[in-house]
Amino acid sequence: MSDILDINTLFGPYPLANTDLAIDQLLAAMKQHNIGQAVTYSTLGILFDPTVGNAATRAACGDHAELLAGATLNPNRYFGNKASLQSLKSSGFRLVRLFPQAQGWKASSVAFRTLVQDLGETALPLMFHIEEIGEVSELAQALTAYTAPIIFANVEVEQLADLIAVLKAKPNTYVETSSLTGVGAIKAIAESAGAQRLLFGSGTPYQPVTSALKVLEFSGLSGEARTQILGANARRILS
Amino acid sequence: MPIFDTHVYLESYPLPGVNQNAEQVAQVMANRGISNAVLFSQRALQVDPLSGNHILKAMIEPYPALFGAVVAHTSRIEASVQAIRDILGSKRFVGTLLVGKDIGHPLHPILSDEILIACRRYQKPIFLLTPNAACVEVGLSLAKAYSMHRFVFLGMGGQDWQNAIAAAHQATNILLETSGVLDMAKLPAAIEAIGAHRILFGSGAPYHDPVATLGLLAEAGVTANNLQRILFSNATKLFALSE
Repeated sequence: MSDILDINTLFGPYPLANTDLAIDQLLAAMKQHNIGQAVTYSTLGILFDPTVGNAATRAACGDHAELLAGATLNPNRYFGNKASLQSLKSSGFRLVRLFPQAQGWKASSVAFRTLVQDLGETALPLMFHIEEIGEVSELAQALTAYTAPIIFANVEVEQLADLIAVLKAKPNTYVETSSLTGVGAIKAIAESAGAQRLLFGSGTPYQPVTSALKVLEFSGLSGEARTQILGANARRILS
Repeated sequence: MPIFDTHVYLESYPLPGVNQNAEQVAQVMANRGISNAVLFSQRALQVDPLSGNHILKAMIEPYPALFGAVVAHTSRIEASVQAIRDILGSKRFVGTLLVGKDIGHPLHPILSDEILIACRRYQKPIFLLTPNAACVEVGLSLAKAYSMHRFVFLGMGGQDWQNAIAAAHQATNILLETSGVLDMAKLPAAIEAIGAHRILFGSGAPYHDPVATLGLLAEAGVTANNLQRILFSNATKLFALSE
């Protein structure tokens, strides 16, 4: 098995793409690029209903051992059912993904804070899709009591100062690489907070794996650091 | 295969030591196998068209592989027209980037007239920032109104790349530049709709590493002939440069 673990993949209908992102496309991309394992989620979980999405994700991951299940949750649809959160963990989900902008909630929302408090008992890693400058700080401030890993995805170079400040202040925070395409961004994070805080992600099959791999290759980091980022870091926090 | 990156910025990048001067730009390009680049001055874009464009001209002078585009601002028409007259005649300047008050918002066509008229005599392409559908719509209206100009849509409509392709389908004087979202579907769709001869490789560096867009091209299933056009020869033809 390849050592590459892609922490950011998806499948299902996606309005931004002109066709559905089929699970076969994801598997083919993994094979083509020698990706041994990938954390994935169904787009139904953000676009339609987390329960339906999580069922689709569980089914796909049950059929393909190389896929690790990522759950989607929406604070706007959480009414305090703690048992449903525990069942995510017991049914094999490895992390929980949240999309503040797409789902329409803020870090200040009491519903979000309640959900996070209840998720604390599961110790599942949380992965947030970042779209706005300042969002990383707002989430970090809302998550001071959360001790399991917190991953920021979709972070771009304009958000780098905010991100690095949070990575330095909060040792259980990490960043996924798929949108860190700015020249020097990955190296700046590695030099400021350590390469162990970076997790390889591609966004495939919506985005090309080659882009994510090439940006890491040209990051200026050592081979050892790149190997860590490509798989070892994610394996450590998902174990 | 030589590569011409048609969309690169000078100065004002958040990280120090990257693209703050022409030497740093040349270094990033050389490390990635990029042979030529068109630079846009962030200083001209964000602050002052006159000084920004002149600084860019001075900076690229010692680097023959680097070219510039004059940034013209619809809220600084007088200074922009002056910069066009001062600089656009230079062989090292290959076009004009027309921008408005807010990069994310569409231009006001009525404010663009004077600048577009000033550009006419140089017969060099007009670059437009098209991060979304609204900017594409205005770009299309300008392309139809100024059929003597060729328009390059930088960023290819962003998430709204289907709008950019539709616009280029309607107006044959529109070319699409490849930066913007890394959506696997956009380049095959663009080639099918308008042909590879109207697509230019551009990265938006340093905000996006050129290797990211090159990765998108690598997975787009483009033929070798079309790849050569997109990466290089379309640009040299558009900018009237001898290969």
